[in-house]
Amino acid sequence: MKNIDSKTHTRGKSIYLDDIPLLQGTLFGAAFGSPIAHGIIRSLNISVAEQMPGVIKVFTAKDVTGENQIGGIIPDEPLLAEHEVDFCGMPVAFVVAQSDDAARAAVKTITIDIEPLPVITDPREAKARGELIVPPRTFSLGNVDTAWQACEYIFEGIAETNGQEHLYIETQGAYVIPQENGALKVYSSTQGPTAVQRASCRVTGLPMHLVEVEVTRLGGGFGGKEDQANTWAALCALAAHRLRKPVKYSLHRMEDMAMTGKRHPYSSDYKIGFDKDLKMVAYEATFYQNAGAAADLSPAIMERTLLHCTNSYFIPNVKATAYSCRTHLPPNTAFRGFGGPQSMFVIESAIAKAADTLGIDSAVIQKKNLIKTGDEFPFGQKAVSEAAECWKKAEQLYEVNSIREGIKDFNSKNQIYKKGLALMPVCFGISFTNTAMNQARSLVHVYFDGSVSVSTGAVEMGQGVNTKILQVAAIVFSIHPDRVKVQTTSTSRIANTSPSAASATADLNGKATYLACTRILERLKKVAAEELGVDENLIELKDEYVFVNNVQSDLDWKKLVNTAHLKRVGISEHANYATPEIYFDKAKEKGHAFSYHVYGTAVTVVTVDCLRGIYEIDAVKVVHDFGTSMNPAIDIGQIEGGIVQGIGWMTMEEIIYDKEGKLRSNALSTYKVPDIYSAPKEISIDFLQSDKDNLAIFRSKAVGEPPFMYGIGTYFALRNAIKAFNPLAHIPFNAPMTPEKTLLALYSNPQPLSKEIKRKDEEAVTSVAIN
Amino acid sequence: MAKKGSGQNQAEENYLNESRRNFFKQSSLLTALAVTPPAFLKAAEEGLDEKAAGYFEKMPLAIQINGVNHDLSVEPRTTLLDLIREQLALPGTKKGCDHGQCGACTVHVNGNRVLSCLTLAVTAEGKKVTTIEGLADGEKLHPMQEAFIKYDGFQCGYCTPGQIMSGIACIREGHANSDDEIREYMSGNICRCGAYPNIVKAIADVKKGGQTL
Amino acid sequence: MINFDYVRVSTIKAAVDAIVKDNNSLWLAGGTNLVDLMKKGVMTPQKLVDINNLPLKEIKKEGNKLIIGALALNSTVADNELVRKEQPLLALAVQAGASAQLRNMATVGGNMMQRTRCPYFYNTDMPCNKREPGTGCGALKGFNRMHAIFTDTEKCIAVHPSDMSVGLVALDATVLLSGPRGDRRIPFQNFHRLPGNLPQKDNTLERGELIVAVEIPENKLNKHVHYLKVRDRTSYAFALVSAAVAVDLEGSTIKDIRLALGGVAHKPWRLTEVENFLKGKAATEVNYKQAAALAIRGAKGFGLNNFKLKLAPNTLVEALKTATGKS
Repeated sequence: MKNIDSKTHTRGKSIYLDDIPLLQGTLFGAAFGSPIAHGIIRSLNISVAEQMPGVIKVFTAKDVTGENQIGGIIPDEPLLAEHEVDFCGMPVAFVVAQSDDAARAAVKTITIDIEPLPVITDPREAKARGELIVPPRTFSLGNVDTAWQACEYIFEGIAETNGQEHLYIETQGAYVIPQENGALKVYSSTQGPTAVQRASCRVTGLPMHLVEVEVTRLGGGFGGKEDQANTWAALCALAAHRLRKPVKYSLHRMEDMAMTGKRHPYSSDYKIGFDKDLKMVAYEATFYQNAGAAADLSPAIMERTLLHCTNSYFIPNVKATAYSCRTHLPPNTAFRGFGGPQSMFVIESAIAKAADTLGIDSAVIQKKNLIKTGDEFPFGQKAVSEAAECWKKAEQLYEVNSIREGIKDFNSKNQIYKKGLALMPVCFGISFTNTAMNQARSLVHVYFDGSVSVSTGAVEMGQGVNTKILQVAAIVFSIHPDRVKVQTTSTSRIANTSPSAASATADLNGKATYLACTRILERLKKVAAEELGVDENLIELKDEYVFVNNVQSDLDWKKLVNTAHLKRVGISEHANYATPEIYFDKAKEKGHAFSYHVYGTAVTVVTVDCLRGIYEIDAVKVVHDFGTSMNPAIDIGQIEGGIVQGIGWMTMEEIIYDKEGKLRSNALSTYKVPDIYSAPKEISIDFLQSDKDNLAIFRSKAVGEPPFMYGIGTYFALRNAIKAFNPLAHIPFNAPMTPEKTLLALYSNPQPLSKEIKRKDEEAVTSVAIN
Repeated sequence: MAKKGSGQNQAEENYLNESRRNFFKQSSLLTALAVTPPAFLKAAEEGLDEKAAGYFEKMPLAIQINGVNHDLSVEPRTTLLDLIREQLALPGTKKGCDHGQCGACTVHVNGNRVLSCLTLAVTAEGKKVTTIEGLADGEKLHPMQEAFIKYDGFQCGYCTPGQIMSGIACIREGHANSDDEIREYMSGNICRCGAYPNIVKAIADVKKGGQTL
Repeated sequence: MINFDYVRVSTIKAAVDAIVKDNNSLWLAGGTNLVDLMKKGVMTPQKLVDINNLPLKEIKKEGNKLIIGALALNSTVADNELVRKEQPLLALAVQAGASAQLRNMATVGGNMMQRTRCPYFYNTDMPCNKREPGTGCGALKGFNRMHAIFTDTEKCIAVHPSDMSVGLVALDATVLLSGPRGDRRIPFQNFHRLPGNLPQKDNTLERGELIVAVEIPENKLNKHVHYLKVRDRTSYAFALVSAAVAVDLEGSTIKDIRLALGGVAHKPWRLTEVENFLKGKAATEVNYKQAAALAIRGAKGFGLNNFKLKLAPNTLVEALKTATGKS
């Protein structure tokens, strides 16, 4: 089935936040952000701004009617800075004026005097100073300390990944309209309507039933609007609450880039040990997460880093520790993969390090150690694995051996162009790691004209979740999809929603919808049985008709629901779904964290121009464990998009903060995301056929985040191509591999020569210990 | 405001548009000021020709948008993007970056694709502008719109209007003869969801269809 | 964006008069750079003089010269049959710049006049000697991966972003101007300048001088040409380094040659000395590598742009090889 937004998207008729018709008298907000990253506010001068033409009011911390706090997991983030600023761009004042231009002009006149404090941008430095968001956590399995003795080979080093700007093409924004009796209606471009509701209530002091948050769709989210949509909505809510006027704030691109957090940069230490057959025996990793200035979602992201620290491999002895380090960058936040990609990069680096040193292909190590059904993850859950199945199918289907031979041949014949190959297995857990968030509700109304309305907590942001939810209703009722409308996401219709995140939205909201529809269906069957005078068990709804014992009756869907209504049978339902089986014991750091895992293997081939350091992605060929895809077109789109975004993270997307904590890559011209040319020339996607049961909606496994990590293969393919040109190349495990880094690596000596270009700690001296 | 009205749909559209955004963004000082004679006098004195707008003054603008002629008055600083979104209530054209770096605001001016965010509206005097809303003929979609649906050339949809406008121009310009050429000439349109493979397929398919766009 | 006066003119004289009369005025052509700079508050003219109606769009042959009107659109130049046949290097260079939409808006004169994309120039809260002389150069010790490796000062290490200009400087173009004191011609090579003590000045235009056209003399350099642009993405990004090469080959001997680099200096970087080195020599990789070594002499990195010291010569060698079919 086609994406239900096809028609409106292609006609320009889809409504996003900035397209909502404005009410007369709407005011416009603009935030004044701190010009420096850390310091004590000595004075703030808003008097000029207040006198600017069109300005209605300039809000500061003292104008907050409720609590000046928007921190979700930990209350450590004021809406408006009061005494101290903790990052560049931290909102300090909020100007509300009669026009967008007037608000922004007034912002420019605000001055602030700040007594500067030391700025930390490096997570290891923050950790050394004891600046942690939450206490560190350690996951362990077996006993690493004794296991090293059993290792034939041990390798250690450092691996680092940079952040990633979400760059949703629709920037953040909110539009808040006062309602009668002090209520507020909040339109927000958010993945988390309830989070926005909670933050708006907190800063205004209103109870949740007076604040309705409504979302039609997002122009991209990718995690960036999970928690970070709260600020703008809360600012507008506060202003609308105080002024009793509609207030809108749609961020400009450069404001959005400067003021919002990104994917967490990580710096990590790894140590990996193998037996003589290259089976992994022990793995120790320490992750330093650059959380930025406030918790935001960092503790949860740190948790997923630990949950995915062994990626798709089984290692009997593991010790993984993560530190969430408080720095003076904007609070970093969710981004597709949610800490998982960062730890997967580390173990893949450890494997590459071992392979380099031993002079073998990484794939030899990867393949030997894939996790099998029944193997234990470091957090205690037993795997139901498709890892080897995906790997083997990829090897066969894409003829990896002949690709490898072809590359060898190409590289021997070409001086300047070198190809590289890498395989990237992925194992990604589906569920919120916070067990309580694994719940959803669906409100289904069947109207007596036969049309159906479905409301859930899911937010449509391009992932096609509304299409899948519509499919659920149409399939359960066996009616034409045109009869079903998926409504906007509103906290008045569906309360206490979990954000659309963790790849789990279609599962949770789809299952709730399934439950609601099934209950209505049961009642309708009863009505049909009465009407037709037959046993209820013989009734089935098929293709808009009631069937009795597989024979079509005259009773069609429309007549049936109308009859039910006349008989005063309820044809509406509100259902609650809670993912079964999952739990997690944080004291032991053990549990059944995920309802299931998604597996896959990507084969990536790249060509590097060794004169210039630029490269092309020739192909990414994937075998992916979809379960049984309920919408292949949408799922393939998610895979392709995830791969392109993952490649961006690993190659061209480079976030640069200077030592003062100012973002230097603050526009699309200085921060490059993949353009149409950067997508792989070939993407092949194969559906792994599997009959294993799973908890996904209609056994159609979640597909939002897992493919992102296929992009990691690109980094290692590039690395292999560089080594084909210069076998002694010094290539620190430091993503992204930009063209300039590629060039430097191509012409590097075994020891780094050009000290000037070192950004952070280069790789430490590594050791190969052979016992 | 709108002069053309072809049948009920157009009339209804105009009504909806007008009620939709009666209130457009305005700089508080400027609202009441219409075009004032001094600007023209000054222009005449200085031996300048044609029209001129004085500081803080609006400028008359005759422009055709999607086949409808409009006589408007705009501030010189108003971009074509803001004009069509805010003043003409055609929000299909998107503001992605507002600095010419993403392509979401692509429209056709006299048949050529341009970035409306870097085009001052006053410079479009006397020109014909086509936006995403002007492509379909009633319920009948433009072939490029059909192709984007057929090949799922979008995910979140935010860049889609720009991609479609750009894709049509790409073929018209004769730059859609191979997948590589399509990529080269479509590189000004960023899709963060990464629907690129399908966008290329959609454009290649329309090109293959050989229709005059 | 702040507001401003707007006038539209249709004669060169009116255009020049309008600018001369008002120190805070600027011409508006395609606007792709100026409007952006105004939105960011980097440039704040009080008046814009719209010159798009001036009759300066023509591309024609006059005697043995190709004359391109200053208001010809970049896309028109790139697709023009005359340009593609006689000066294909220019077509390639123009084509390498920006995106299809921007090339449909940007003019030849405007392309020459575009400002650097140095992020310190663009951010009004950062020091920049080009934007505000005396405030210092933020890039010198900062985020300078895009920056110059050839410069005559540390006051400004910005690079000129135009691809077209790299082609034009290689092709010995001449810039035709019309100003308050009459008409003037400047060799393209002297149009853009090194920053020296006046980093705020990108070029040698005098106040009120309008670019009317560029003129390219006929040459035999249209058979073996290449414009190689290296950037972070395959397309739609400014050059890290670019190389313009046009060669007149006789057999495998280089009879005549034009070379220029982009992304390495405050101006498009013509390599006359390297051309002289290669003239009369064989079109071989060995010679190209020697030429590239010569080309990079005197270059200096500033930290994050050190990779250009490697990239620039490599790019030149590759462009030479592609142009002469030796790859």
